[in-house]
Amino acid sequence: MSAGTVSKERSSRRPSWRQVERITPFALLAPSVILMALLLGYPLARLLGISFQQFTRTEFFTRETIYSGLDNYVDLFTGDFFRVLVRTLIVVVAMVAGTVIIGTAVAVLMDKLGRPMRTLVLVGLLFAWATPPLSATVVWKWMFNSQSGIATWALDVVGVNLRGDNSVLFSATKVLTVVTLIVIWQSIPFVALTLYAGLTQVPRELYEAAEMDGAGFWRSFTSVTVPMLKPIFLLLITLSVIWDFRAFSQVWAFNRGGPDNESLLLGSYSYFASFVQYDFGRGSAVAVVMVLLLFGLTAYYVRQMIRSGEAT
Amino acid sequence: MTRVDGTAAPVTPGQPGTLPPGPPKTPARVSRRRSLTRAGVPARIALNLTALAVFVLSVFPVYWMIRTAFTPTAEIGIADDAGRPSLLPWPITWVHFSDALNRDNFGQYLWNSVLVSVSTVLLAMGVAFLAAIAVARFRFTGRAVYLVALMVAQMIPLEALVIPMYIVLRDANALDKLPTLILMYLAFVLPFSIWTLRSFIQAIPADLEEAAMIDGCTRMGAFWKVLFPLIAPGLVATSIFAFIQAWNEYIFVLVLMGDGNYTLPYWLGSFTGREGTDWGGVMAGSTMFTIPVVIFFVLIQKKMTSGLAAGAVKG
Amino acid sequence: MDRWRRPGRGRYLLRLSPASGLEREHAVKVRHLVASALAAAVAISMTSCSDSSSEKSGEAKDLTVWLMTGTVPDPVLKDINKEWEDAHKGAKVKVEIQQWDGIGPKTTTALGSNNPPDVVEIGNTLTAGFGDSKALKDLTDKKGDLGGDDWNKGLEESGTVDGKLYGVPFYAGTRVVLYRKDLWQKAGLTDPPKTIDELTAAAAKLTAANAATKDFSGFYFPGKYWYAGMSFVYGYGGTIAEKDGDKWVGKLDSPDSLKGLEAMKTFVDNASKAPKDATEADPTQVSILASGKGAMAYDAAWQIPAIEKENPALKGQIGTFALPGPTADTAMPAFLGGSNLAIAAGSKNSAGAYDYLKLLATKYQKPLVEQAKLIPNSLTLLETAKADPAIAPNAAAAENGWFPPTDPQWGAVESSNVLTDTMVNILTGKKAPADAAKDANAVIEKTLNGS
Repeated sequence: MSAGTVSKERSSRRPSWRQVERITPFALLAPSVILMALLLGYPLARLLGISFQQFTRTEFFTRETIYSGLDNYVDLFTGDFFRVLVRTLIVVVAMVAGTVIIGTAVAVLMDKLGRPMRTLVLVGLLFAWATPPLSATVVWKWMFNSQSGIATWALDVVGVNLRGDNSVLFSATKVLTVVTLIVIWQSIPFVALTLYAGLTQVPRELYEAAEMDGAGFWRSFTSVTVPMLKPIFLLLITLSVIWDFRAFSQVWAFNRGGPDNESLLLGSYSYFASFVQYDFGRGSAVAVVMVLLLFGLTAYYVRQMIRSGEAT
Repeated sequence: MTRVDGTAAPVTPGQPGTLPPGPPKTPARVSRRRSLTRAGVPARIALNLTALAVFVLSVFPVYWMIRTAFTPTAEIGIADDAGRPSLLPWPITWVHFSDALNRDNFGQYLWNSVLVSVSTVLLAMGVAFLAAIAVARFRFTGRAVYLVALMVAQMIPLEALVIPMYIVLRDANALDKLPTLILMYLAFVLPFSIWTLRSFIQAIPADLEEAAMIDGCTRMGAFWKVLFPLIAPGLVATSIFAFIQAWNEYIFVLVLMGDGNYTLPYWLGSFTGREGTDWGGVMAGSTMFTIPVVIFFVLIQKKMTSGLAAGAVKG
Repeated sequence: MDRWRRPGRGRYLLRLSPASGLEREHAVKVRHLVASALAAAVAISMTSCSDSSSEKSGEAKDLTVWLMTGTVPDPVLKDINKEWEDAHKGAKVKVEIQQWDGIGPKTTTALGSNNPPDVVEIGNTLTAGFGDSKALKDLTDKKGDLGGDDWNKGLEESGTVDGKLYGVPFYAGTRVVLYRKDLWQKAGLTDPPKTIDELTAAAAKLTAANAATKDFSGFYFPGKYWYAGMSFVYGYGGTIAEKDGDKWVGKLDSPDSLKGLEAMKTFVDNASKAPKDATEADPTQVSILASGKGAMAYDAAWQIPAIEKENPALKGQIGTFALPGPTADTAMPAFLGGSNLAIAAGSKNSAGAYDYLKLLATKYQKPLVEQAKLIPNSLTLLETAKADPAIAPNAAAAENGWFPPTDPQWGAVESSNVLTDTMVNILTGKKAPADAAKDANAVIEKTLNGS
């Protein structure tokens, strides 16, 4: 009878659209779920399956299925894998730290600027962001060219010699330093713009209240800005870790992993397997391992982010 | 009001008779300018100089790209006797740009790129906004699983996905069709877009929508009229990201599309040939590739931020 | 070459053949379900429904041909198409020109599609990979019909896997020494050098005459130019690797190879100030010659128009000669880069494809030589090419040209950078040639033998 439903409505403190509320989230999610299930989920399932197969070009052309158990995974861990992993972790920490710290500073700067200067900075950031990554890498490589680079010349003036045998390309450390700069340079715009967007949403009154309490710039930053933007910060850090961990094309375009393959990062395994050795089984195993690694690295933050939503 | 992380925030009493206490209605922009003039001229100058420095550092490599695009091949990679390459392109040449424009199919690829990227962005923003509302404003079973799945989706190296994707699309007879590309890019950018929009929505208290609903809006109406304008800056940042992903993507276009359906990145690849790489051409092509994106988004940014001010005042 | 089957390596190697049972059926069902869902999604959003099927029952079938950009001049292509279409009334040829960037993955997926291109031009370093993975038709029995006895052996090697012919030699291009006649004359030099020692002396003279230009190289030889480096190895009788039974053995440290590497180091030390960290592609050697940073460079003759375009004062001022060898009677072997022609294993029109391939590989070789200045696949034609002054040096270098070990894994060797690293280590003096060669062998063997 209707008595039950009526009392339910009366006892809830929310208006009567609670019934609708149960359906709506799924309706809202449906388009994204369908799309991603078909075009991400299904290929991923195939990828997982392929990682347990011997799947080279031959199997691709003959369309046979040959299971090989964990062979692809075992193969992956022999050789340089762990050294490259450690190297990648170090580089990623540097990239993420640089991107987030400088990106935050730029966002705060933009927040405090007047309209015209802010637009100038915005345009600069957009240019850095929109440049195709490979072209950008080539340009940076030219800037540090041992014979004809503008940055080489400038550093020469201040006493840092990158010519001849000191060429950037002869040292894996130098290569990775420049590549880190390239990635930071291209990643800052997104972080800065996203944080800036978040900053515009922080109510002005909170800052004024903090000022009245005697807080200086740093104090109001840590007690107002950071807590307000915590979800965005967490998200940016997590995404930066994920993206930078996978970054490989810049390293490859810069010096093809040299010298002596000492500057190869983890993403190279994926690239090599898929486009050099054409061993798709191995490439799929690499992908699975990378996902597991990244998941392990970011699980704590992902949990934080999901939990943070529950307070609303 | 309650902040996202659960602590309490000071609240300004709202205007009498309309809404319960909530965030202020004055656009943040106006009050900020007031406090800036209070800060004084030296601070202003320092800020502007810093802004200039940021601009120069961001733009210098791009400037170098453009400068090389105007440099004749004979001078590319060549330094003068002091070991310094010339800062300005000299002598200036238009050859690379005219070569690039005259390449086969440039117009067609440009059109395809624009079509695919714009479609991807529009669809992505729509679908992502709906999904982000669902995960930010509702509690339901499977929410955590959905979110984790989205995050995991971003961890996959795309190179590994090329062959499985190819096989799937081949079996579905969906190869060499532009809508396939659009839907695929859509699937690629959705995880990130949903997560980001969710963060923006979380930063906006639900009280605003509830207030609007008390005033007679439907739930969806509240989302559209109240929430959407407020997260406009977030939408801009997300849509720039989605656009750049679609605009720059190369390997899937190469492998899934055929003659007539390629996009600009494929055209950019044509500068590397049997004779080696035409660096001037690559730089000219990259310049032409980059500038429309920047112009487009500067315009969008202006529109969106003015929409923000309007929405907040209307509140 | 069943290396990829790895017999005995896997704990269990379960091979599902097309005829096996329930699992495959179920997988196929799921696949079809998803495929139809996808197809529905795409169909709903599709605007155009063009169908380029090449099947016409009962009549002559259409043909799809993939050629690389810049190979066949347009007028020649028109003639070939017309001849084929006349012989196959009612069928049409569709030629798709492919660009070089990304051609590996592109060809891979195309050959694995449901409608692969029928005739494919494949770079000769890539052919072995495709042949070995069963993407191409076996053409061994057609060799005689295509004039195989007359083929340049170096070119034929690149298309042969395990004794089976998958790629028919199409053409090659070689590198020669491009030199600036104006700088040559200014330094008081007259005839092209006949030996490598003479070349070194000439380079030294040029460097001295141009001491005012910073970083000027009499002979520009960048440190990572392994194509040039390996020419020295082969020129002194050495080789990169040889097959011993079933396994590859690295041969860079053989006495002859070492002689070549040491000769290379001596030459570069005395003749070139090119940066040791540069490849030959960046900066381009066109830039080097056009701007006068170098008087000689090792490159393909088709770069000459580009040089003249960059520096119009150099019109007619760029000459060529084959890179001289250790003695006056042979030139240093040049890398035989080129393409092969193949027929897709899944081609729906292999008869028509063969006819087209035959035209390209036999009748139209002569126009290719004459108009595109390419090295033909037949030795007889090569002789006539030698008479053409425009490609005489190329032909001389092609006669005993070299080709890297023909193996599907060769691409992996190149991408592992072992050759460029070895070059840099030797030329910067970081490692002695013998040590660098030994280390290189280890990597090459490991990569080629798939261990």
